[in-house]
Amino acid sequence: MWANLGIRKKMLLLFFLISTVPLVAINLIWLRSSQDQLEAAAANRQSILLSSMVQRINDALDIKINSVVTASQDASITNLVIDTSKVRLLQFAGQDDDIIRVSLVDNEGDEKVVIEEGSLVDELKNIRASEEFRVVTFVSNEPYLGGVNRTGGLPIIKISVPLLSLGELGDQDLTSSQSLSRRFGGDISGALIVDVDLTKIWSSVADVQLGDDGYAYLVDRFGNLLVHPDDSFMDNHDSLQEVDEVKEALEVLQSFNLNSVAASFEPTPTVTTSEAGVTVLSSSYPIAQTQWALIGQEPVSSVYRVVNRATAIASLIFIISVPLAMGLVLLATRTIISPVHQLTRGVLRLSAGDFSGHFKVKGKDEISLLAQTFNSMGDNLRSLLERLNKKNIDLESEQTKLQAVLDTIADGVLVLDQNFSIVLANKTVASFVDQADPKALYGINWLEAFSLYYEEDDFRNELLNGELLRFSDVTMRVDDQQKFMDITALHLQNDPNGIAFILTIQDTTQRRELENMKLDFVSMAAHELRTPLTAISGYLNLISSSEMSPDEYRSFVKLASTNANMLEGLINNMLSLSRIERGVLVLNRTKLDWSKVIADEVKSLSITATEKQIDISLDMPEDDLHVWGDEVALREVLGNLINNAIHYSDEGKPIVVRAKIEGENVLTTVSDKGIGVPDKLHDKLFNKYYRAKGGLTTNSQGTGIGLFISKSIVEAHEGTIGFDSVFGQGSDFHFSIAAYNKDKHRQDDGDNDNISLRGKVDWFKKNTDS
Amino acid sequence: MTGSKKILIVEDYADIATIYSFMLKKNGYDVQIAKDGKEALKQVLEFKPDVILLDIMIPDIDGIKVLKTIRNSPDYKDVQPLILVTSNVLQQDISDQAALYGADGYVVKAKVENQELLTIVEELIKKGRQDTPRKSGEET
Repeated sequence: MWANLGIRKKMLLLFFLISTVPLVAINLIWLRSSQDQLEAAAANRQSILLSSMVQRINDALDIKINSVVTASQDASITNLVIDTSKVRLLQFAGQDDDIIRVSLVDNEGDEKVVIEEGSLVDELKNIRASEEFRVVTFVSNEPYLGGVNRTGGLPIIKISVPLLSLGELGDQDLTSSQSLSRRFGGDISGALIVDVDLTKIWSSVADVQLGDDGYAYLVDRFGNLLVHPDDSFMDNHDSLQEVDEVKEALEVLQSFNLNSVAASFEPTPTVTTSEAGVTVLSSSYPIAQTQWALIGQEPVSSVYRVVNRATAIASLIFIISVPLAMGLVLLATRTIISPVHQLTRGVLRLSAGDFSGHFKVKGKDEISLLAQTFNSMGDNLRSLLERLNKKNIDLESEQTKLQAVLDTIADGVLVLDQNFSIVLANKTVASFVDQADPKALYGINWLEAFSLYYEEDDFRNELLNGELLRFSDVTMRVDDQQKFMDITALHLQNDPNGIAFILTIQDTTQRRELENMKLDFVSMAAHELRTPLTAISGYLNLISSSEMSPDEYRSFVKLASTNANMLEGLINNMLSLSRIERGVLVLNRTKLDWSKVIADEVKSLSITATEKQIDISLDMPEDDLHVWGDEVALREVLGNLINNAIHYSDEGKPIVVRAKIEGENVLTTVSDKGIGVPDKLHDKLFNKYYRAKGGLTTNSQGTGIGLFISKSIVEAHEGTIGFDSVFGQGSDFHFSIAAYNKDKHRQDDGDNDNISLRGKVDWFKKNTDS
Repeated sequence: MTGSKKILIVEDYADIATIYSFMLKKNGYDVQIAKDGKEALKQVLEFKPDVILLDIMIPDIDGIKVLKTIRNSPDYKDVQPLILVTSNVLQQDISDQAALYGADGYVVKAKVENQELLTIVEELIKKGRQDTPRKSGEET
């Protein structure tokens, strides 16, 4: 529970306990001891004052009694000589103001002399029945002190002394009552009764000051109030029997009577309720000879006044200062709490990942130390975070690099884990499953994602059992097409990074297609070559075996020759292709009379044209049409285009060959009214091995390489080739090559060389210094 | 041995056609040339050849189709010439097809010299038509 309290509450509680509890304890202890001290002081005070008061009262009473006794011992009084007694008694009465009345009575109780207020009183009574007479004369022969009477407001006590005949008197001390009693046996002649005013004694009692508010009063053995400093109290109260204080005093009186060792009397002050109803510390002193009790008291409150006052002040101070102090404690705890709160907030920020803040460190206490520690922790975390971030960035960039490297590889690269899940893949692999981003494949099971035409279990088993495996021609469906893949798989055992398989997947579909095309081409080429060959041997056979006319003979020879040319052309084509493929097509460029070249080529193809009754016309407006090019190669191009035109035209459809200058180039166009080229084949036409459907024919069109070769040659001349065609109506195949420019075009051979021999012989130059 | 038998040469390669035609004519046959399938079918009905040298690779309607038409079409049921299917290369499936569709023989032109072809034609005429098409139509 303590642990759950906040620091403030803890501090307050602690403060409370530490400050108030001891204070209160001290206070109580001090209070107690002070009280005891004060009590003791009060008791002491009472003891001193009251005992001296009692002494005075006793002494005063003794004096009065002695004076009466002395007076009673006068011979005339003893002998009741009236006249002399009167004188003596008048004297006696006049000596003491306190003597109110003197009465001399004989042993019958008749008053013989009465003096009141200093003068004789004539009225004489018999007082035989009175107590004072009876006790003195009949009972004890000792002086008798009667009760106090308040006749006319004065406290009167009757002192009766027996008149003893002198017979037994002697030299003994007569002042002692005791000795008087020992002299019992003498005749009593009467008594001397003196009314004494106790007012003086009473005043002295009433004057007793005990402490600040303490006083004394006197009660008789019945608890009747004799004297009290408060007159009004006296008027209203007579009997104080019921008063606790008085009861206790009477008990003391009684017990004192029993013990009657005056000297050893030790009063015991007790706390009791006084006659005024006040709680007082009171002690009572018995006055044995009169059976009075002198009660002295001090109100407890005044006994303890000093202490109480101090306590009150202390309490006041306490009441003021404790809240004040608590307030200060609260303020002070704030210096602890608010940094703690700050720290808490700061640490919350830290734990949320914000390492940027710094605690202001004030002072050097534990909290400051803590704040400093947090600061350095925050710094450490910040730098750690930076390092981690940097590492992360590096890692990412490494990954990106890796991915980039992988993506540059044309073959598919795939890295799998034990479960055949994809760990790493490149773009090529992604394209096999129609994904743009290889990362989308990560985590996917390869065998499930790729639609391979291969028994999955067999594949799995083979992969798991092998180390380096090659799978050829694994078919796979990509984009709704069937593709062929060569897969090489490396099986890693116990790779720490969890890599199990590294696969390279090569899409061999195109290669196969190309190979197929090549094979097709080869067989087609062979076939193409064989055809004219067959014709040649056929003709030769005829010539050698049959009878024929010279015309027939000549015609067959020509036909054979034409076929031989054609064969040669085919072979040249293939060689050109080979050269183009190997990149060693060498052009021997010269200034060519283009119109002548065209005319020659058209002528050489005229036979083929006439067979189909196709008319080839020339349209060359410019006279001086020269190009810069390789004659043999360009003739091949022309031959190819014109042959195509012938082949794809129906009988009778004319062909036009046009050539004109366009800027720095010469544009040549071969136009036909043939079947044209369908739109969808436009892109493929110039591709290698492309054969337009049209069945097997006797020119290089059949091998599909003609246009490809033409394109290559034209482009080797830095020219362009193209066509326009409308399917069903005809085509215009055109190409553009550089016109001869004598400034730009220099040829090694001299201009004087025989044109017809060009390309056929190398003339070695003489060593000239030009 | 050679009556005026009529031979239709269905061949688009002019030189081959010329050579065969000359040779056959020289040996007393009546020869016509058709350059494509359409012309071939037309000539069958018009020229009514006894023998057809039918090249597989011809434009328009190809050789096999021509063969099928001649053998199966009701228009041609009256004319059923002997048909020798020719091709430039040896291909078993062409041979099979030729046999299946009712050709009487199969010749690879490149393998055959002119003289040999002559002999083959003579043999063919001699054998005449068989009722059931032969499975293996290749003769050398």
